[in-house]
Amino acid sequence: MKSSLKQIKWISIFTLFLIIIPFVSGCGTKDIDKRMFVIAVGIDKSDEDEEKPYKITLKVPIPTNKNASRTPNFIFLSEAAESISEALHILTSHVDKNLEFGHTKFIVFGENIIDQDLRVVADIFLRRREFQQTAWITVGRPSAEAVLKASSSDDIPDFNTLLNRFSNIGTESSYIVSIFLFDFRRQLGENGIDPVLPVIEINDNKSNLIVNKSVVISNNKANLELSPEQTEDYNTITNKTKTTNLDIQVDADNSAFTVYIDKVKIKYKILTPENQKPIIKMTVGMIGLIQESSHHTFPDQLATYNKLASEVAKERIIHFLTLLQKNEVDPIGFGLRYEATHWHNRDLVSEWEEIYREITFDVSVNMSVRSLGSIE
Amino acid sequence: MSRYFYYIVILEFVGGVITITPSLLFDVSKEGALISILIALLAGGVFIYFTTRFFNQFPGLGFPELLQLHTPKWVASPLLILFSLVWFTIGLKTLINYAFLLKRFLTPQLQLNWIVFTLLLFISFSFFMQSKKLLYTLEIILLINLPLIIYIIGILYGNQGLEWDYVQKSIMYIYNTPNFLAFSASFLIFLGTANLVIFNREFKQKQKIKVLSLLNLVLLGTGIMFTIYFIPFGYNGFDRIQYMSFPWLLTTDSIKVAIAFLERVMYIFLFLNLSIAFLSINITWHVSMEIFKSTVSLKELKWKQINLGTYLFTLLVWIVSLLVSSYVSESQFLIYSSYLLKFLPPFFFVFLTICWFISWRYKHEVILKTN
Repeated sequence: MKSSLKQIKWISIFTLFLIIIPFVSGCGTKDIDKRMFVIAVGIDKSDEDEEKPYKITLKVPIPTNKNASRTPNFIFLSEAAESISEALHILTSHVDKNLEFGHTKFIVFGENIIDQDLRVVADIFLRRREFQQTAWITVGRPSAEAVLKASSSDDIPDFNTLLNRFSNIGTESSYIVSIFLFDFRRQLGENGIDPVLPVIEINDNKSNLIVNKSVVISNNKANLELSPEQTEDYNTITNKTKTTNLDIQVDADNSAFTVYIDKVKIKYKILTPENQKPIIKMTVGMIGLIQESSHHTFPDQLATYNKLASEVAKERIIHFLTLLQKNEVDPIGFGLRYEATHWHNRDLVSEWEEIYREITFDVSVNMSVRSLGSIE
Repeated sequence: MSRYFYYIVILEFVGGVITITPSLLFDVSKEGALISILIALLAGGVFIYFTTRFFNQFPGLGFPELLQLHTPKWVASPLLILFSLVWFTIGLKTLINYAFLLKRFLTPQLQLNWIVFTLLLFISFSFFMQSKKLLYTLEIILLINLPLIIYIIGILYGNQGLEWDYVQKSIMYIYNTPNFLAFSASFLIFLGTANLVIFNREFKQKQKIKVLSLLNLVLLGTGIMFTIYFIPFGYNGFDRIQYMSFPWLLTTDSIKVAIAFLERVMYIFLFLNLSIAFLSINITWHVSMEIFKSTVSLKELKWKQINLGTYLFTLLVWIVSLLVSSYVSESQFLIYSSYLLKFLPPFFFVFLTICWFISWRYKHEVILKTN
């Protein structure tokens, strides 16, 4: 009896495997040589055709033997269509391989498209599962296509010039804002915070990319462009960078020196005392050293340098914050912080909008210049 | 308690991430989800306490035996069928839910019923396993996965992308009236304890749950529940999270580990969930099957000394799962599962009442005998 039971068991397992085998043939998937990995997607507003508002550019690397050919090892696919997905769909007919978006590292919006509602434009990247939420979002000037097609003149594989800038692997510049898709998405949808996108520009002879400006995307107001210095301020205040330069002019004896800040810590509180003007109390802690000076520096003068530097920093930050307030944008997230520290009620959002218009900034900078550098 | 008890409970804790619990909670995140979670945590602690105390009185006995011992047949059999049905539906919900997830993120070309088919092939093996062997499987797979779970939770908390302001904003909505669906959804993670109805058969020594270990379990449940609820806010923002179909997957996609074997953490998370969902389905359906088999009429259904109950159950599972998977759409699934979730807390209240009745009868009989 026992043995027959065992036989039944083995026979049933054997039949089961017979059933499974046809389904595991293994050739259903496409091999890697039948795929093309799109590394960057550019979206422009196409001006040729009214009915096809979107112009999509894809940057696709093609594996080549570098010793054999010096030709550029990228291909660019462009198409204008009614929607982004339609353009992507048409582009599948331009190539012989399957287009894969799983490794898309950059999504570049052309300068002329960011005035539109980006929630609509960016929808496909949030909805389709292939796109990584950790792709970098950037703005291309004059157009996304031009930025993607600009190739560097030297020997560097030109995709890395973009990657190294934003990933902090190569350059660590305080002028570069780097924002991931998920961060962009949450700031775009949230009340009380506006996303900031970096602007990629091309230099005159189209041989190099420059990233030092940025733009604040606002849902219902005009976008505000930030200059390099303001971009640096934004990075400092949101604790996204640790290093900045402060140029200090001393009027009295016409001397000047530069402080290199290598550690920044910023905290702020929103105070709304009754019968008084609302106030944002911001404390800034900075540690740095003097890296350039027009005059001789003295170790016993460090306190003076601290004072001068903190005044400059304070002025810069207040100037930047008032600029944001005047343009009614809020990339720092003051509104979010206000909502996060007050019990929710229906009027909270409109209440904040009123407060933000008349709020004053009280910035206190705790500068400590620790060193004069290698020489005095 | 035996360590296997903790495995069963912790499995459901961890499995809470892949169920529809998070998306249901986020739907009402502006209307008192948080307060419902707190109530559910309290209720969950009470539920664990009473269930374990009841089963500790009867070492080595499952719920079907106890019910048949203390109630007439016409009460016991329909009740057992109902119990079996409830466990079956919970398992089916997990299966369909995970199949949807797989279709969206791993195998978009595959039809839903083919995914269910493949999963069922492996799940079916568990029907032919003894309860004890199933517990061993549970231990091994859970222990293999635990480091990965801790790793993912660790990088979720440690990542720079996590913004606490959004989390804090969600706390500001605590003063709202609790919502029953949110309560049921968060109560779901405590239902692992209820699997004792069958697995108590394997705990043959006298067991006792200490107050400290109960507290630890509730504390762990609280930690996991708060992670499930709060972390997606920190990555996805608060205002628009209710429009996401898979908030947790987008959360894990928001982090990347530059120097790892897989850069996209989402795929590690998916595979981790595959094993957790697999275990969870195995356990719930095993319980369902054992209850099903213990109804009196099925005990006699034998052919050459083999109990045909198992085969019958397997057949039923295949037919129902394949049928459901070929007809249900994602939104329908959400509606039906919210019906199921709303049904569960009252059901388990009734379950506790029956337990109380049985233990009352038991004590009463002991007194009668001594007299």
